[in-house]
Amino acid sequence: MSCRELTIEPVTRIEGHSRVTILVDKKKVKGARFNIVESPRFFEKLLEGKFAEEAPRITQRICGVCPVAHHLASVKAIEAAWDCQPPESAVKLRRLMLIGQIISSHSLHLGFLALPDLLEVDERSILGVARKDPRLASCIFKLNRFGLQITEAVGGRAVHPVSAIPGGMSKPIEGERRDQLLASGKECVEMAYELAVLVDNKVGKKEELIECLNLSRTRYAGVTTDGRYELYDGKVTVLEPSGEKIEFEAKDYSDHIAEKTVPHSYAKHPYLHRFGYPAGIYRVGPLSRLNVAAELRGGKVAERFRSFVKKFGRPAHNTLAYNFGRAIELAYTVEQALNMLEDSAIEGNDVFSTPHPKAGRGVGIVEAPRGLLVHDYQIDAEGLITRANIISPTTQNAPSIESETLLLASNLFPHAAANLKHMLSTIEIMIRAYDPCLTCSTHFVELRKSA
Amino acid sequence: MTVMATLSLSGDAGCHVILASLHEKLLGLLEPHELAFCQILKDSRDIPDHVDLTLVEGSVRTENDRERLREARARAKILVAIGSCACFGGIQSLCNFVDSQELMKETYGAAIAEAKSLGKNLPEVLPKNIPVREIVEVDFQIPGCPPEPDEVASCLGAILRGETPQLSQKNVCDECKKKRGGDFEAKIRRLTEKPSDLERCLLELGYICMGPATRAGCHAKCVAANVPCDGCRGPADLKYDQGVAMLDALIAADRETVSTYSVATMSAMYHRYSFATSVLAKLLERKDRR
Repeated sequence: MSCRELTIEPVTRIEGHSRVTILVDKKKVKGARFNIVESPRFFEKLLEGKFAEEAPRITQRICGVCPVAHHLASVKAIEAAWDCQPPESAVKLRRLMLIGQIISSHSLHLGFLALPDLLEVDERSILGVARKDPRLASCIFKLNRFGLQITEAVGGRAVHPVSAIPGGMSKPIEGERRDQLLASGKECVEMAYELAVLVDNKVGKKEELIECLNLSRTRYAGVTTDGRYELYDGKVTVLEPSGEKIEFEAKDYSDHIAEKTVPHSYAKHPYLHRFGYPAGIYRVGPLSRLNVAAELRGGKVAERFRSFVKKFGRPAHNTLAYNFGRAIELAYTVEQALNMLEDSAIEGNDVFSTPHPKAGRGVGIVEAPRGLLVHDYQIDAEGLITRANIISPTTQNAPSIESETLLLASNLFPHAAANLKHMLSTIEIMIRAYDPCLTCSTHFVELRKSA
Repeated sequence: MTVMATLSLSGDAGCHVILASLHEKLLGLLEPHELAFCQILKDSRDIPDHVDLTLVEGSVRTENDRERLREARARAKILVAIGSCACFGGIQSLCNFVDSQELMKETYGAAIAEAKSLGKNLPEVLPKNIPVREIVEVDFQIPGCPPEPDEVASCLGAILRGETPQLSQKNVCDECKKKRGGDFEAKIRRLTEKPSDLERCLLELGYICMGPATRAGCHAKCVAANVPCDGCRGPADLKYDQGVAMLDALIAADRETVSTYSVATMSAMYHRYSFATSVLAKLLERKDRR
């Protein structure tokens, strides 16, 4: 029987260029692919021979949406290689800056990319959201601005900050800037909470969509400290579907995570070594962070968290729960930012201790908005990078995005005869829930060698 | 009503993040007009046949990039290159002196063999990374990595009013608040050393600060954060080679250190965002040895 291809190209309201191809015959789905057609930029090769201390500024250009995460994973990798400990005040500033990144990225995703679907506005864009609910659009803008302002105050620039250097930070935060942030933060904390309630109430009622996106029971990976929710530093915790947990140190990641070259595409799919491929694939991001860590306590966010668990169980497997998780994290990080800003210790002046370059290997991990991010550098005695490996969150989610595309298409296709468009748009909503960032997926590029 | 479109080529979407961060101003720019194609911000699959203003982010690295850019140009009355990848090739051009086949092999290893059989629908990687204006005619360039939000808003506002936007003709030093004494410490320093005087010009302290060779308009933010300018906005006057100008100045100051490291190392200091447009890159590309 002859097959035909259904395609979505480009997948819209995600960062980067991709195509979904679904192979069908008259009755059944025969296969599905999530192809990245994003241009490769060869960052790992680009780093070779460069001064290591310049890498935090270079590698953040991997991604304009989550530059702070790359900036910090990079500086941590170098510090690990040089056995260098930044002062406590510097670590506080970095934590604040990473929180700012989560706030700006999550508000951007929810407001500009996800909410247009979930609110079913006529024009599926922020313009549609602004026309239907100007106050909501204004909240989204304020939250996004707050995140960017934090990055600018701590990092020197709102997008592509500069202040994290091996040994600490190039500057403390000015008292005046701290006061401005405190004022914006106080305004934002209630808005972020309201947004989480809105996502919970309004979107929670989309039972049919939630049912559709109940697709797979996977494992989850994220950073924790003593089992608690963590973004900047800690151990990698993997939660098995059985509830069992596996923990390992950042420096040992390559003993646990392997990358598989998949024959049908150029995608290297990461998986947990001990379970083999494809059994060992795992997911990262907001859903994973909330699944692997102990419950969020304190403040009104704890209430949202309980509602999330009630709706999706623990661990939560539903892919639409990524959006709920993102809204909860947004409210939580705004609360955390305010807590950090209220503590005068954030103005500490001792933010740098001189590093001593030497030969060695260093691994830096942080939680980027989209999940676990790994930078791994080999550095020579002159302080030049000789080898680099970077694993981005989207690379780790890619195997699940692809397998869920196949599952979802297979579930919907038999009933989709009259409305293929609906099926394809549901697939896009599923992909969007992951908030994939294809500009980040340097490892995950499908391409053909030049003739 | 003006019909607008945005196109993303090889880059990091940072310029689109800047567009989104215009917030209310973005709505103000869009509301009387039509944003007909913008993959990242709205559902749209194709560039319409007639567009008044197209913004292009990113450089050209694949055949797919080149085709989409040519198509965008053919359909646009005005085409604006936004960001330093589109204007100068951007940071990814630092790979331009590495053979593209070697790049592919080292990045993707054995998978290359598989890739050959993948056939249709896959973008072919070009031998190097290319700025937009080397492929199509560009009406205006807004440089920066990323460009300043206010500058983007004012440039777009001017274009929509039918005016020619103005960029600063000064260099970053003109906006810098650090103090200059007029003498250069005879030793180039790396960022691993803390500046001995946070009030003083970083270049004079020996750091490779690209301020003198870089277009102003950013309020010298990086230097204000005690980090040298890395030249993300390209040269103020496009006649000049940003990195070669800097190299020449540094040779006079510390010839020994300048001669210590390879082009691979130092291109990331002198030409971090503009290597593709550099004369040095063109010379290195010449394989005929004539």
